[in-house]
Amino acid sequence: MGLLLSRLYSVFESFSSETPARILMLGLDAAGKTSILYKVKLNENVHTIPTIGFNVETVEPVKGVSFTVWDVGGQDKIRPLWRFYYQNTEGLIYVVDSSDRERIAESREELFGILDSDEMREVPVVVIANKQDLPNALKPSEVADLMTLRKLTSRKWFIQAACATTGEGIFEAMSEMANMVKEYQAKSH
Amino acid sequence: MIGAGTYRKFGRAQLASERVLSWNSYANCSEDLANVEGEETPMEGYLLKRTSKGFKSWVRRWFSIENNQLLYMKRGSREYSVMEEDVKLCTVKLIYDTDRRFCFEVLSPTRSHTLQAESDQNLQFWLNNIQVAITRAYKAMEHRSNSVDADELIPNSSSTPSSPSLTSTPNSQQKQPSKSQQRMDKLLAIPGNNHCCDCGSPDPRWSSINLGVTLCIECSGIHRSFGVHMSKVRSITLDAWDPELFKVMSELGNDVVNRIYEANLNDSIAVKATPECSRSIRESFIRAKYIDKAFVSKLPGPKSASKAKGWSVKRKPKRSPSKDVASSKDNSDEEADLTSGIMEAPVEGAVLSVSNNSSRDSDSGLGVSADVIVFGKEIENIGRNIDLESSDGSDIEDADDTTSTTSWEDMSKLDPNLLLYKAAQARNLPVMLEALANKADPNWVNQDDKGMTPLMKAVDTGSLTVTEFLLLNGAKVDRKDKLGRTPLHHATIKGHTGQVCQFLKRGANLHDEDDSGQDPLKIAISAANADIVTLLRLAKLNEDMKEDGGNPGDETFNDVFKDFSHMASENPEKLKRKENQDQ
Repeated sequence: MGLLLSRLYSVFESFSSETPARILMLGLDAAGKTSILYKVKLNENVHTIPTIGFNVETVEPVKGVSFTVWDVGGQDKIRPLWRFYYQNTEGLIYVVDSSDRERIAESREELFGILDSDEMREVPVVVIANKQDLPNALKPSEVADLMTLRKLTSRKWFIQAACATTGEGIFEAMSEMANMVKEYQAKSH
Repeated sequence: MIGAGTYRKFGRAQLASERVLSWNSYANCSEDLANVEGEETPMEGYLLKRTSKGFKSWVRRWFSIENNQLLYMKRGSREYSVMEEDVKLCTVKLIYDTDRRFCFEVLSPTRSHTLQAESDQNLQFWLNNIQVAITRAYKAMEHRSNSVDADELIPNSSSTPSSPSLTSTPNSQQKQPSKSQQRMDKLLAIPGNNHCCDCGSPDPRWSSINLGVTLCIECSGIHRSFGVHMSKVRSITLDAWDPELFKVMSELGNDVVNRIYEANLNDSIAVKATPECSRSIRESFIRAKYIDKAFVSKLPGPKSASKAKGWSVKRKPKRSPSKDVASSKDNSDEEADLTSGIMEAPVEGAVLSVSNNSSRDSDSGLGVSADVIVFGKEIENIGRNIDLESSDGSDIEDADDTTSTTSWEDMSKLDPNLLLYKAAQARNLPVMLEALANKADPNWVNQDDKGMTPLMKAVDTGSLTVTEFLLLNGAKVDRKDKLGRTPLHHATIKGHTGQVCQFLKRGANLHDEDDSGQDPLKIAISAANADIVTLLRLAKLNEDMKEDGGNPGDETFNDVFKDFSHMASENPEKLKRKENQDQ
């Protein structure tokens, strides 16, 4: 009982303390990463341009939970730079453009490449099936199938349908991330 | 969702992020300037640095940016310490919530440094310079080959800088331009491509691959916001480009595309975007241009072109692997066309690329000198000045293709769908784009021609470019004609290896049987086409592995695939020879 309490306390501590959880947000170019970041940060539709480099913001998507979200540009040739952001990551948000059927396989490959890394072992993943408002968008279950997410057995994962411009599904994705990060921190402490 | 209170709390931060976003673009501009002038302004000076250890005190240090590194020197010391090894992994942010003025933060994935400038002007100097250094570092990276490993991108701090210094980099690149640099140069040399297609900003670095245009970063952001069904945006330099994409671009380009999409500019609908215009003007213009297609000329109706008896599409001159011979032949073709008597009077409400031409088409049979509207003639002349990428893999066996235009159709049949279909047959991308701009359906079924789609017609021509263009613009790979054949069936029957690759890459169904019970593999086996048999078997193997829970996207599969599609794009004659030997 005492152990459980202390564990609960440490979980509570980890969120209320000064250091926010480190969340990495990746995905192919034009998936909507920056739009999601600023939707969470400002609750506003920021008109974005392609990210060269990265954006980082501290956000409080759920009461009492704070994240430092690293949003890194997704162009083909700068994807090799992703790995420099892996260290100490406690949660991965992977953004997919659900309407870009042609590149879903490419997106899948990149995701599995990230998760293969030692530094990302057991790090929980929330896949955001973004751009649900566009015609011909894949349903989250289809995205999960095409990306073979069910193969992710050694870690927690979750898929959330979303639309960054309306904000639909973003809060759900973040609160799921918060739960998974708590669990991850409890396990690794 | 986030409450109003939270929102207010973020008011300041919002300001900060907006400023960062605008710095980004500002940095891009100043970088362009620096490039043009070839000047290397020194980036160095004093800053106050908050110590990271012990008491958070402030110390004055001499800072410098060199070799993509952020360096500083202690007083009395003669050697720099490295603060950040690679500015590509850094970003700068203003700090508001402090009692000190002129503070900013340099952030990298693992560290954060708090710095203070001496004045507001000095603060702007540093923010701007660090941003320029970051942009410059990314640009230096652009020029390297596609398959660089990250280790090469990030010079190791402990070793002496392995990459040449900033000043020498441009020189060494000029001597030996990388492949991607060469491609970029070629791409920007296409008429109109050296300025953004929508706002006219110089030196565009982005592209819409399905529209075949180059864009500035601002306009690319707007294209991206519309979704990939409208515009597929890629970086010219930071994305890897398949050869087919370059071929598509080589046949279009900003001049050609704007003659279609900006044929009838109209300020009362939307004001034309300019390099400095506001985001809202830019957005409404781009929306009107591509989504509403408000400035596109309508195709001539039966009335307006009453003089004309019919229409056809100018064929793209053939290009055989032996380019020189082919092009000289093209010239004579072209001249013959030109001298065959163009009616000078353009069609009323002239549509781009339409000219009247008295038909010398054998299809007219009776030798009637009827007036025929030929689509894509003007454009062809523009295109001829461009050094196109090598052969597009076209391999035309159709006897029908000996003429310089498609067989002519009656004016009553002039609609966007049939125009797209005929233009695909003629391998004429500008006319295809014009048909699409007139809202042609890329999956239209031609009931008069065995229920084929434009994509199947593209297969007949053997052109990878036409196929790619259709695929980029929404053509589906799973449609069947009246014989139950998919485009993959057609490509297999024709023995067009490159197109087989294109369809498999898009996940074409391997198991579809046509009405006589033949799937593509059976067809390839009975035709003894070793390359296609290999490709189809590999694709099937990959599929099986996926089902068994193995690792799809297996590297061998991808490599073999890449090899084939590159060969099909760049050395189609190699595949050809192979086929001949095997048969």
